[in-house]
Order: sequence, then C-alpha cells, then structure tokens
Amino acid sequence: MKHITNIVALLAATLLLATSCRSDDSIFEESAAERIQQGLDFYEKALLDGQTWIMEYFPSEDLKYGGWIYVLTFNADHNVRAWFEGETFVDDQNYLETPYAVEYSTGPMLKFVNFNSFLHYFAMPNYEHGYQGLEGEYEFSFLGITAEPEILLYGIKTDKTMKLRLLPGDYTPEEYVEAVRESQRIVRPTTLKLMVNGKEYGTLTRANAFQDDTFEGYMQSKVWTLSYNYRQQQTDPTGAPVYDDEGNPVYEEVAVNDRLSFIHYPDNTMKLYEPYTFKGELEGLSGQTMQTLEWKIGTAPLSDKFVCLDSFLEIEFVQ
Amino acid sequence: MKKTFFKPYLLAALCASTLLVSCFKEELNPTSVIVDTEEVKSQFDLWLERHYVEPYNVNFEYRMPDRETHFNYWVTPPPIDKSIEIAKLIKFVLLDGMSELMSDEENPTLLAKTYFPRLLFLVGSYEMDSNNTVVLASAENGIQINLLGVNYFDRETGCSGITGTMIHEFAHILDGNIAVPIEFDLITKDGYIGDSYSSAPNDYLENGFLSNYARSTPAEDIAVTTAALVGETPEWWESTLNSIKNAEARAKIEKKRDMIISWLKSEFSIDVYKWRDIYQGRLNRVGEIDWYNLDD
Repeated sequence: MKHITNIVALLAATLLLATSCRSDDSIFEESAAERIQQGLDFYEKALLDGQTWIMEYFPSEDLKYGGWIYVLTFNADHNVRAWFEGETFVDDQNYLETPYAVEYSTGPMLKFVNFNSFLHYFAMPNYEHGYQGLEGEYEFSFLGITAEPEILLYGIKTDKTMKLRLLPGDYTPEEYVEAVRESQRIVRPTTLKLMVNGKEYGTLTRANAFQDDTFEGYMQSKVWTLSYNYRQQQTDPTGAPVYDDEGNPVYEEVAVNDRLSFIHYPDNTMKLYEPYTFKGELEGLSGQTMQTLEWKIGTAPLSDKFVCLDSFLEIEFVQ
Repeated sequence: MKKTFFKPYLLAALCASTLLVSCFKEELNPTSVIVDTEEVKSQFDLWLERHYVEPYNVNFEYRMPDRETHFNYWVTPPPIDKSIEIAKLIKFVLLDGMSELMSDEENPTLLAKTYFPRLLFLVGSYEMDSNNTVVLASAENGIQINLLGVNYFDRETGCSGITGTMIHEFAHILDGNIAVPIEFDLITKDGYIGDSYSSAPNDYLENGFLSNYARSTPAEDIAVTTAALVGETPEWWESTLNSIKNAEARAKIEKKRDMIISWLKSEFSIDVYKWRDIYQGRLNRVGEIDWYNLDD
C-alpha cells in the first residue's frame, strides 16, 4: 500500500511538472491584428504597383445585365479614377474620381467609399430599377492574386468572382473603353444561326444591336438568347423512361432558350462569365462547352460571323 | 508510521511542483495586438473634427461603413459633395441653432452635446423595399440618426426637408432618453393604426393627428408634433387648427401640442417657440452658408 501511495504521489508531481513545462509558443509570429494589416498592405501595394487596372464586372447573380468593363487608376492618396464603358449613358465625363479604401471586413476588402456614378451605377437602388437597383456591388472581397497578375475579387451580393488585370501598355484608359465599345459597335446583326461543324442547330438572338445612349439598349445588346432543340427520352409521371410497344425509346423535343451574357474586349472578342455547356443528346454537341466568341470580318458584310475560340468543335454563329 | 512517511514525501513533491509551476515568469508583451490603421484624413475630415467632434462630440459618418447599414436593404454610399453640404446645413441650422437657443445657459453647447445623436450616418440611396416603399431616415438606439437619400439632396430646394427630418428623428431620441408622459399616448389611443397609415384616407386632422404618419404609433405622433412645433409657422398652426371641423379632434391636437411644449421645457429646458424662431430664422439664412469652404 505504501508503494502505491508513493507512486501516485510521484505521478502527481510529474504531471504537475509536465503541465508547468508545456511550451506556449504561438503558431504565428505576429498577432492577428498585425497579420490582418499585412494582408491589407499586400493588396493595397498590389493596386498601387499595378496602378491602372481593367475591371471585369458582372452585376446580378443571374447575369441578367451582361459584363461591363471599367478601367481604374489607383493613387496613393486613396483616390481612384474610374473610366466606364457605359459612360455614354451615365455621365458625360471621361472619368470620375472617388476615394477608395482597402479595409478589413470578413477579409481584405476593396471599397469605393463615396458615391461615384460610374462605380455605383449598378448598386444604386431607385424607382427605375427597383429596390436592388441593377444588383451591383460596391464592396469587393479580395480572393487572391494570380501570376498573370490578376487580382481576383468576390462580390457578396452577386456571388460572382470579378477580376482586375493590368491595362495593356499600348492603350490609354480612354482608348481602351472606346475600343471595347467599338468591338460591340461593329457587330450589327441581332439574329445569327448556330452552326456546328457546318450544320445548323439553332439561333443566337438579341433584342437590339449596340446602342450606347441608354442602359437598356446597351445592356440588351450584350445579352443574347441561344435557342436550339434537342431530343430526350420521354418519362412517365413516375420518372421511368417511356418505350413504345416494340420496346423502342419514345423521344420528345425539348426547346432550349438560354440567356448568354457577354463581356466584351477590344480585340473583337466577347466572353461568357463561365463556359456554356450544350444540353441534351445533340449529335456530338451534348456536353460540349463554349465561352469565347470572336467576330470575324468576312469579305462581305453578310459573311461576318462569330467564331468560337475555345471549343473542340467548329462552332460558328453566322448570318 | 505509514502516515509519517507519506505526508512529508507527498508534501515535498507538491511543493517542488508548485515551485516549478510558478518559476516561469509570464511577461506581457508591451506592444498591443491591436494595430491602429493609418487613417488618411481629408480636408473634410479635419473640418468635421473642428465643427462636429470638438464642439458637439458628434461623429458625422459619410463613408458608410457597411457594419452600420441595414443588411436587408441594398444601399450605396453618399457622394462627398452632398455630404459636405449636408454637414454644413446641419451645423448651421441645428447644432449652432441649439447653441443659440441655449445661449443664456452656462454651457450653450450642452444640449446638443448631451442629446444630439452621437452619430449621423449618411447613406446615398434610400432604403427601398420590394414594394418600393422608401425610408427617408431612421433613429437608432437613441444615439444615431441615419439620413438616407443623400444623392438626391438639392440645397436649393431640400434644406428644410433634411432639417425637418432631423428634428423629427431628434424628437425620437429625446423621447428615448426621457419619455413623454404616457398620458400623451392616451389622448388618441384608439386612433393608432400601425402600418395601415399609408393607405388611410386623408382625414387625419379630423381624427386628432397632424399627419397620417402620426397615426402609425404614439412615438411617431410625438415626433411629428415636435417637428411641427419647431418647423411650422404660427400661421400654419392657426390655419391648420381652424380647418378642423371636429372640435374634439382639434382639442386633442392642442392637448398633445401643449404636452410636448411642457415636456420639452420641463425635461430639457427647451423653449420650443424660441427654438422655432431660431430654427426658422436660420433656415431662411442658409444662403449665408459657404458651401465649399473647408478651411474655416
């Protein structure tokens, strides 16, 4: 019994010793506040080092209004000068300047501090566009910087990732936004035929050609409707596939009318926010994707067409 | 015998452990983990320090930090030029007006320092709901007034709208600090109709109210009555009261008016008619404001 008591006492003493000797080192060398500040400084420096950035901006969670180009010049005095491809219908000025801040919210965040009719055009609620305005952002969470370099931003309201990339050296901001408009101006048709490997599958239509004097006209020229039909096997009310009396599958035609919202670049290309995937059993087209279209100028106006640049198949939209 | 062996041994072990536990010295890092971010102060920020923070202890927030906004609304920040105009307007008509009102007191700024909201929070857009119902302003917890729709402010036509709204919200804050006697609520206790005020017919005067909005709740009734006492002329009061056919309704409005006058005097030493003269006089002199100068 005496030995047991001694052992217990020694164990208790050892345990206390071990407890008191436990190292209490921090995982990080800096405090949380210092690390937050470092994160803010990192993005602030990136904005200032790049100085002039192209912002690809997608309002609306449903991408109802297309993608829009801003050019932003960040200055060390915390003012940002903004050019906007939609300046033609917003404000008769080339650029507007407003304070910006890189501050901490749920993470590092870029915020345009005071109202700017370009930068807040989509975020402003009003009677014309309703209580959500045009469903835009004015605060953007930093997601990271790629090697390009591109600064990736996230809009909380729209659940969309947007990006800043450097303005090419051969453009001034004014020239860039004008070139973006020009690349849209040259596309005049409102209806095009969807051709895949030379075969017609459907249409690509929009409400109107490019108009830069009203938001509605401008926006509607960016938003196309892709229409095509595909076959799918019928199902009964329980969801089971339907067969005819001879055991052959019974098919039905499904009409697709999908909205495609594009953002435009000066090189006559336009791009979707994310690749579009063709639906249904469409003779090899099913499951194929496309994202970027280039307007190719033909030998005659009627031979101008969009050519898909990033599909395995030869996808064109012709007049 | 067992006890005599056990006790010293165990005690020695415990003492040694305790000593070891206490031998590590925990020195606090003298550097705070909270890092102050370097705030870049604009000329307007410095003007606000001189004219709002130092004399009145009021924070005029025009950068719309999102933590202060209502997350159920989509809003945008105010433009800086209109923020400056509103700051100048509120200082001239309300804050300096209150100091003038209390000029006989030992500390004329004490009323504004004590009861004016600690935070004026500007929002560029209105708060709209899905029915396009618009919120013009709101008072929060007795310490904050949110001024909405700053984008639409026009100093040629909108000064009285802003200052009137401020008086209305200020009345809420006074009421929140020292409540108007409950008897006020009882004067037209069956006449309050909540949100239905927006669809009520325009017979508010004949029901003992100065507006349909006053019919929503007693708190709004108090704010509307206070704002009318300060913002409306004696001629307006006379013609409004004379237009009421229902003598009982008129008496109710007069009773509520008198209760507000008495409450302001007894609880806050505010002579409401003196305040009205100062307020309206300053509102007529807003043309004297130098809207662009931030050097004063």
